[in-house]
Amino acid sequence: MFDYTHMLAAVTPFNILLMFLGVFGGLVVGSMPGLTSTMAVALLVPITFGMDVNQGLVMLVAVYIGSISGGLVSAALLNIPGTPSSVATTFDAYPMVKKGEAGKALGYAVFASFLGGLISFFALAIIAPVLGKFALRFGPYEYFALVVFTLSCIISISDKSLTKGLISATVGMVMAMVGLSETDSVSRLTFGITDLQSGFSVMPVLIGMYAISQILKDVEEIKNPFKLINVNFTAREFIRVARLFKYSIKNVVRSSLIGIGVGILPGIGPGLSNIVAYSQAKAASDDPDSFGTGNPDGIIASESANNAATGGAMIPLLTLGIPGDATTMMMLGAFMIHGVQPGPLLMRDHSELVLIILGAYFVSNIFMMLLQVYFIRVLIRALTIPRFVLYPVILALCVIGSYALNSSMSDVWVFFATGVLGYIFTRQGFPLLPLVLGLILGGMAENHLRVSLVMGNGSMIGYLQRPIALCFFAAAALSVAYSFYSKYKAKKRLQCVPVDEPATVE
Amino acid sequence: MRIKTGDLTMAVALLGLSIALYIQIGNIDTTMVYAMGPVFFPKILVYALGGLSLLLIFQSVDFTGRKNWCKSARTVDLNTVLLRWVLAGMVLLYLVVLPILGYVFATMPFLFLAMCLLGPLKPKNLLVYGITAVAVTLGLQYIFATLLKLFLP
Repeated sequence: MFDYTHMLAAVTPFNILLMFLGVFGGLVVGSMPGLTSTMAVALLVPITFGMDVNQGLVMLVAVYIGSISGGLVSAALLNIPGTPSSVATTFDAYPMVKKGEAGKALGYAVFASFLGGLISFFALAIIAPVLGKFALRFGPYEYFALVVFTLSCIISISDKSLTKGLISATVGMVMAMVGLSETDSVSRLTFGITDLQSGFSVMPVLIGMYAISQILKDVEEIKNPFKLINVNFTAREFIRVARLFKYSIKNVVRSSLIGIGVGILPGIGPGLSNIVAYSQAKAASDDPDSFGTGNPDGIIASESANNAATGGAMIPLLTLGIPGDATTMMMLGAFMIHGVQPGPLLMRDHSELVLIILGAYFVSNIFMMLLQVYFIRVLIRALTIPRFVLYPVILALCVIGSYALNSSMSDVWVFFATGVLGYIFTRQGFPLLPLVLGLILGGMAENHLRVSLVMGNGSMIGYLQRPIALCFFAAAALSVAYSFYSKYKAKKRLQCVPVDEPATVE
Repeated sequence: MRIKTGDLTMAVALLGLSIALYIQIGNIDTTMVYAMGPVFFPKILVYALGGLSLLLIFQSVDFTGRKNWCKSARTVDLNTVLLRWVLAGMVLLYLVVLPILGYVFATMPFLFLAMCLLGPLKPKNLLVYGITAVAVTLGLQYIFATLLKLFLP
């Protein structure tokens, strides 16, 4: 089914330039604390609007790879993870930097990122076609069950309150219902606003939710400059560190496999993979006490896992059209802007596009390593850009991005309104991920549920005859049950002292 | 009786939203009514939203006074709150004037004023803000309008 030589189509001179710029842009944005990989994709998506589909996809993949890896720079040098995927990197990289071994810490992190990405590339190349072929068997029953499973995964890992996670997902799905219904072209829930007839565009909502809410959240510490540590990181130092990896092959492979596995699960992605891999590396180590004091294995585990998770998260995105995390959600929105609808049909009918994505993934990983080795000083310099200068520029860029999508001010208003909504939701402890996923999957859930019910003459008995759908429902039930169990355990552990709340009404 | 005011406010607002949505669903043109029609799924969602809002209202109030609720570690700094909402107001104003003044003449002052709001106000900083505002506005216009041939407001 797949002719892997098509991957070479990604390697045209212009595409190489785009990948170089994409990885570099991703690294710069990802390295800045507070600016996540989701934000990196959001900021750089508008640049791809004027490109053809191949070029757009190539650049998006490059930005994704760069932004995930960029988080290691601030994690090592500032002890602040640039992205959530680098949280565990801080545990050992920063102590190593404080010992005066900044070059060594960066060397371990960069090479581990590269190896994690490389292993993930092979997993993506092997698993995606197989899963894509399997997904061709899916009908409305299986797709509806898959949506339920995806939402349940995300809701069950969302913070403390299951109710709030469910509310977020429901609000997102309600937003997906706004406008003309796909099946019957009936206008719904527009409150008489004509601009809402076409519904909410995904990109402005995503950009607003993740950019505005993040900036409003960061306002508190915006004036504090970062204190940087001097770094002497050269290619020679990098090669010396890379040679030491022969002692850590087991750790790299284990952490990368964890990254891929965790990345495939909806809603989890690189953000959690690094923590899981770190704890596994610590558990498997002969000297677990040295973790947290500058042990290279801690850096290797975290960085190889988070980069491997990018490939893992791309597997359900490409084969099922289900995004794994916020960044792949943004990627899905961007793919759709370019007229590409990820899913099994894409794998079957347009495998050349999938192969271009694979090719871009591979080349971007190489660029990611080279750029961090040779341009690390530029990335460090980027950290010194004051946030009070940077954030207004980001806001302006987001406005342009939202407007340029359809040359419409309505999308800009959607960006602003959803941004404020996102901030209020975050502030009150409502997770955003279920909301945006509900928006993306709401239409899909409705269509497949309606078709499956019509096929079953209004009854849901048909689901009982579909083993794949039943497996998804069972997995969904298990994830929710596990969530209840872990919250119950956490509650028991929590030693909470009763206090008088300021907002108490007697 | 103890109340989590933030949760309660959100729950009441969401309940209000679900009532408004329910009324909207009643207004949907259903002259061609058929089973599993266009109101079928939205109705399920609105019922779910209403039910979950009621559940949140219930969870936000402790009628017994026995629940061990932790005091929030977050302290509210009025200056930060003010800064945050002035920034949001500034973005709102920017969006209002954008179609009237056009991209260049709306973006330059927005960038400059937002930087002044968020950063220090020393003369050297003001110069940097001014140069950045002009350079970024024109640079973005060149990239998007000239190179990428995208429309700007």
